[in-house]
Formats: sequence, structure tokens, C-alpha cells
Amino acid sequence: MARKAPGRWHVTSRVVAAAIPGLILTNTLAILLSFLLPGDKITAVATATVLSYAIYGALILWIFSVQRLRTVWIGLLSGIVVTAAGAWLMYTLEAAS
Amino acid sequence: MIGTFRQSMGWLHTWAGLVFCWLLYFMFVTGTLGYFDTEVDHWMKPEQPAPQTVPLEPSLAAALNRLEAEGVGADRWSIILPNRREVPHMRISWRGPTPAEGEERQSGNETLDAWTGEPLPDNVRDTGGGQTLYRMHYTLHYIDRQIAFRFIGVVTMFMFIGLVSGVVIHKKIFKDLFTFRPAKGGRSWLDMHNLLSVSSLPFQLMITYSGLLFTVTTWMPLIAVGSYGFDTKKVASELGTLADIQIERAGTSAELTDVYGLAAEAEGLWGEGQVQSVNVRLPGDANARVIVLRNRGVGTVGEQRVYDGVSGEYLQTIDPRTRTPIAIASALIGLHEGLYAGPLLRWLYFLSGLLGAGMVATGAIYWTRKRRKKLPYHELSRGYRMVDGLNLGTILGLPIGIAAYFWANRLLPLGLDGRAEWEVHCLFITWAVCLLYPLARTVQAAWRDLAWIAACAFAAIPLINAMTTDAHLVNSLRTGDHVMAAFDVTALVFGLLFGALATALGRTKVTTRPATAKTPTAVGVP
Repeated sequence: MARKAPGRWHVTSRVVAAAIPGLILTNTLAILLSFLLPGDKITAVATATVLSYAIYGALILWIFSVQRLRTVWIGLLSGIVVTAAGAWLMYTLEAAS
Repeated sequence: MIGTFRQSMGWLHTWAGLVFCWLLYFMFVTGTLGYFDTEVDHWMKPEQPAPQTVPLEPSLAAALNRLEAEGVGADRWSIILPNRREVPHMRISWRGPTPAEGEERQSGNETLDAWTGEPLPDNVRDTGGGQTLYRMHYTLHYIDRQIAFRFIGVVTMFMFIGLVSGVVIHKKIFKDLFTFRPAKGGRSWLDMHNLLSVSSLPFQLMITYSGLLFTVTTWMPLIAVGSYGFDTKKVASELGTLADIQIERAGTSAELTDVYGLAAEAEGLWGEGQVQSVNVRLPGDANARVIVLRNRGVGTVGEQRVYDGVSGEYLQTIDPRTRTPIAIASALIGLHEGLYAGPLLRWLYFLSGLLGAGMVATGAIYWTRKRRKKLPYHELSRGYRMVDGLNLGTILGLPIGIAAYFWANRLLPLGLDGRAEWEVHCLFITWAVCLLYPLARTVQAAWRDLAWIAACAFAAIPLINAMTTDAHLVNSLRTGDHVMAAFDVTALVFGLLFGALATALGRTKVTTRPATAKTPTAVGVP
């Protein structure tokens, strides 16, 4: 089972993706979760916080398993936009109610 | 990323594990010793009076007497009762109000004789003890605490990724548990790595994820803050109500109620020895409160009964664990610390931690074996030889350094300035010498030499103890000081284990067998 080592660029780009947008997406996704989870506020926040590293771990595994770099970056950035917008929407709805 | 999903994960497993492997090994070894931190403390302070277990009434009376004398005008008094393993002696502390500009806060803490309330004599040698040794695994000792803690969070994340990707790339977890092919070069190391990892996998996952949870407020603070619309004041006040009460000074003075009566009531409800500590807030003020904390069991947070500090009336019970996720996080972190564990479970913890250290070490050795070309050793590339040497210098050098830490505790002059610091310096200087040692020898010979040195270093610990103190094996067995005796015996056992390793290394040619088998899990680097 010979296989080639990944190129330097591939590795660097993914490490950066995991460190920056990956961490940001973990946070925005967890914040969105804290609005969507049932129960009172502190419980929801605590759940999202405890799960955050599991989310981050899953994201990193995904970042390093996808074939194309483009998929990684587009996936992460659009994920951040969608989850952040969702979280903001939930927050304004909550503030208005 | 490369080839199939499994191949990508194989690459990720290799590199996530390798990048910080020596640091992870260090964290596993020093953290594992932390399961016996109190016992190591006891060995390193042979002059310390024997541990006390004192009933609630005399110990509380003694502590309150002392606090009334020392903690006048304080905002908080705290009494930690000597009724469990990690509190061999009663500890009290007091904290004054927030001082004006340029003044020092009036606060202090003492260790007391729980029968008499007198501070324990300070004739104990200056030592870092077991606490310093175990704290290294997240403070790294020489580095700024905040920076070290953040960095440790990153390293732990690498460990977590290594574990999860390691699980993903396994086809045959069950088979791996029963596969060991000794004396097959690289293959044996892989089998050993799999055996250690698979057999202790639940522990490794628990210890790593809970380790991450320690850093959750450092690395993931935005989750809570963001959820409250980035209003940090609101977050602080919401979360502040979880485990604490907020009270203001009334400014009028009032007699403090009978604190023992309240603690005894709580003990009656919870059972004997279940009162872990007693806090008094604003003692002497009309708004005083007495808080009695229950022994926490597995978790890190627990039940607290709040009483009015003047009338003695029961006000409320605070228990953050009424919220499930907080109970889960508390239980996970409690599992990590293992403070609840009795002797048998504590040894199992210790063993699991050693298995974790072995997992990291065998992984690192396998990495070098797999990449060894069929050449005479001195013709291999410099980079390769360096990694190979550093591997050995860490895997055997760190234990030798820890033995040096114990040696230093007994051999450094008692009056030495900064003695406790020098103990730690001895650990790291010894380790550094071991790192350099392979440069002077062939790696194979260095393996054998260092294994013998480790064997002698640990086996000598009981002897050095006997030569320098009265707390030697014969005495400690006679007086029934089992902790002291167990430390000596354990050191001896480690000496024998390293001796067995050295003998085994003498028999096999450690580095002459290149790995031949192509393995499905690791990714070849030319």
C-alpha cells in the first residue's frame, strides 16, 4: 500500500484552517447550539460549552480527510457565516420577545 | 487528504501524536504521579507530624478560635477539615476586604493542629513535594502560568485528535488486544502500542477530554459570552449565582452564631465525615453567612448549605449539579483528578496513567523504527539519529530525572536557599544530561546504559532514605507508617522493572532490526 506523502502546502493550509476558521466555526456553532438547546439558559450554555471540544475534534478530522483544499475553506467559511447569522437571528428574536 | 479516508486519518494520527510526543509523555508521567501527590508529599516531608483525622467539634472549635484572633475584619473565613486523604492537616484561610489603592489585601492561611488549634511547627524541610511534581503537568514549571496553560490546551487537543484518529483507523480493535509479536523489530513496537492503547482506551479518552474541559474557560470563553449577546457583565452575574452567594456588608456588627451547631446539623443530614469545609462570610457583620460544604464525591462541585450567620436560620441550598451538563462536566473533571478514589482505584488510576505514558512512548519508538533504513547506524541521516537519541533521552531520561528529584529531597543541604527550586532544577538537569548521553554512545548502548542507571536510581531511593532519615523501611513498618513504607517499596519495584528492561535490552539487538512489514495504519514517509 504505497502512498505519497501530502504536499507541504496541503498540510500548512489545513493546519491554518483548523487553527483559525475551524476554531471560529466551533464557537459560532456552539453559540447557535446554546440558543437551540432546550432547558434554561445556563444549562444550554453549559451543554454547548462541554460539547465544544467534541465539535472541534470532529471538524479537524473532517478538515484533514477532505480531498480538496477548496472544499475545506469554502465549507468552513460558509459554515461560519450561516451559524453566526443563525445565532444572531436567535439572539434578536430572544431580545425582542 | 491523501488516498482514502483511512489513509488520511493514518497520516493525521501519526503527526498529531508525534509533534508533541515528548511533552505528552512528560504530562502523562508527572500527571500520573499526581494520583499519589499527598503520599509523595508525606515521603518528601519526613519531619511532618503524622496526619490527623479529628472529629468535627474539636477541630472546628480550634479553627474558629484561631480565626477570631487572626482574621479580624475579614470578608471570608475558610476552614478545610481534616477528614480525608488529601487533607492530612486542617487548613484555615482568611481574606480581607478589597483594599484601597496602594495597600495590600489582609489575608493569610495556616496549617493547624486540629486538636489544639496551634499552627504546626514549621521545621519541615523546604520541598516542592508531590504537589510541585504533579502541577508541572499543566504549568510546565518554568513558564508563565497563563501561557503554559494555553499551550497545554493546544497539546491536549493534539492528543485528543491522535486518540480519535487512532480509533478511526482500526479495523480490528479486538484482535489488536490479543496480538503481540515479540522480537519482530518495528512490528513488535506497533503491537505494543496497540496493546497499551486499546486496553486502556476508555481511560485515555476520559483523561484527555476532561483535560480539555479544564481549559474550556480559557479557550472557549466566547460560547458563554456570545450566548448572552457579548454582555460580559451579564455572563458574570448569571454564572456567579451558580456556586456562590452575593452579599453586601450591613455595616452594623452582630455576634456570630454557633458555627459548630450548624455544621453538626449538616453532618447529621449527610453522615459523619461528610462536611468537607466550612466558610464564614462577613464574620461579625449583621449580614454574616455560614456556608457548610458537603464532601463532593466524584465531582468538583457539590452541595452547600447556606445559613444566616447571626440567627443561625437555614436559608438555602446551592448545588450547581442540579443542571445536568454542569453535573457531567463536574463529574468528568472529578474523574480526571481522581480525588474520590480509594486505595485500589487509586492504584488502577496510577496503572492507567502509566499505560498512557507507555502508549505515547511506544508510538514514538515505532515511528523511528519504521523509518530506519537498512544501513549501519552511523550512516543514517543526522536528523534521524537526533530524533532517535532524543526519544531515548526522554523516555528513560525523564524517569531518571524524577528519581533525581527524590534524591535531591534527601541529599540537598537542609539550609540551602531556594531548596525546593533546586529539587526541580535537579530533575531537569538530570533529564538534560540524559538527552545528551546518546551523543556519546551508540544509541543501542545508550538504551541499555540508561535503563541500568534508571534501575539503580530507583532502587537506591530506599537506601538514601535510610541513610538520611529515621523514616526508613524498618522504622516505617514498625510504626505503621504505611504510606512511607509503600513509597520505598514502590521505588524498589520500579528499580527492578527498569533492571528487567535493561536485561532484556542487553539480550536483544534493539536497533539493528529495521521494520520490514508494511502496515496498513502508518503512512510511509520516504
